Amino acid sequence: MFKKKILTIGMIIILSLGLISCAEMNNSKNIKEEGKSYEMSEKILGTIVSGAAYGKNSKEALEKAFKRANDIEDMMSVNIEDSELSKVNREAFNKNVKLSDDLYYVIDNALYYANLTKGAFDPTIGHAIDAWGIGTDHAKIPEKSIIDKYKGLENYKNINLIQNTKEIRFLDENIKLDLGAIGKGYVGDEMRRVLKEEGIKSALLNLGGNVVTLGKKTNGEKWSIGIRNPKNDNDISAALKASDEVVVTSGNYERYFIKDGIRYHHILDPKTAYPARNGLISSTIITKNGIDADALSTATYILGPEKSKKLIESLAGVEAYFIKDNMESVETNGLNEKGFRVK
Amino acid sequence: MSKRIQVGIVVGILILAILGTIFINNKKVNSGEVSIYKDGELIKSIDLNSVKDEQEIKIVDQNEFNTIKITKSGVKVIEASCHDKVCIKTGEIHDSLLPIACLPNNLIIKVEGVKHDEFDTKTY
Repeated sequence: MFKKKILTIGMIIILSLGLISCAEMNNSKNIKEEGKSYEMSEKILGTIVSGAAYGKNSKEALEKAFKRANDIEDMMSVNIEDSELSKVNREAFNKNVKLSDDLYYVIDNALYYANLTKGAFDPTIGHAIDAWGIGTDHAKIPEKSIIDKYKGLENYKNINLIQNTKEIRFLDENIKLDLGAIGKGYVGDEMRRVLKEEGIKSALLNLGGNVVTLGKKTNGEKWSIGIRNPKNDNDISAALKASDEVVVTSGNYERYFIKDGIRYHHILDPKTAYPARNGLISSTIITKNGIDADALSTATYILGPEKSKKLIESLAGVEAYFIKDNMESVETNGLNEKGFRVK
Repeated sequence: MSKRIQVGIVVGILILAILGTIFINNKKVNSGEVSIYKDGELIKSIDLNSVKDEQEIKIVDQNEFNTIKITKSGVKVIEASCHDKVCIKTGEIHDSLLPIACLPNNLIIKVEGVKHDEFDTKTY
């Protein structure tokens, strides 16, 4: 009788220990499958691109997404001599040059935004960008003659893009295409597309401040995104929630140099060929796709607060948050639906 | 042994088992924030308390790379392209006493005090 009781208690102990080890096994299984995540950071397009993907295939998917980003950089960088864009810039004056589908798509979108913003965004001002050299070790204020040569050209009107043959021709010799204000947006879109194709349902990408979200966090919440205070690197001005959306900011603090107490930043106004000074120091755009957000954040920065608010409110599915040089802010109407709050 | 004592032992063991299960699922071995610096720039920080499952982060710079593994207990480099592999040999770090440094790839990894950050990322 006594033995039987000992046996019963013994079995209960064994069962209980089993319960504990089962819990532990279950935990390690989660690590291998559902809970799996992978992160990567890489220097691409002159900035640090970081990505975190969640789910079974996260490592392979993220590596493919980064490979795609590198391939687009090789195609669209003006700093790579044998990139497709460099070839176009060398050859397209008065001659039709055939474009890849990727480059055609990005140039087509760039020209769309140039027309929409009446040239506030203009991808043809590459020579003016080179003359300033902002962000390089030879940044300087160009000679007046150079500024006069490149300001107000409105050369986005002098590009012939042929839809049927996917060819391009420059009609003005002063055109140099620079896709720096839109390319990063496209790279983010393509990285997200690759991740989706690989079956990833939750991912967060940050391309030097361009935030791209895929799905929601693994706990089902939307991604929480802070918007940098333009006057303090370690501070947040506002925050919002996003899912399957992008959040892109253009600011005067990204790349600049200071001469005689004046800050010369990298966002050039095509009308003046000088860094834009129209009342904004930071412009954040929230929408579905990075290519739109990237072009619009640059364009709105250049247009200034009043024109930009009107422009963004005329576009469906786009919201914006602007910070003026006196640190006052301007918000579009639909921003509150994005969990927006000022800190 | 009276029946009451037997029931008591059984219930006691079951409670211990349940507590044990909860403990194993929630154990927090360490606290602090892992900060990863590349070329002197902070590119990633992770609160160790928020690490539920192990994470791998690959930092790539052209042909150079380091793969970092972060668990609840700490952080270590598990793969690297550098020739000396000092970063891998440093092993896992848990506190601010010793950072992991990969000088050839200009990468520094530290465990620092937690700065509570409510955001997943930042736009700038």
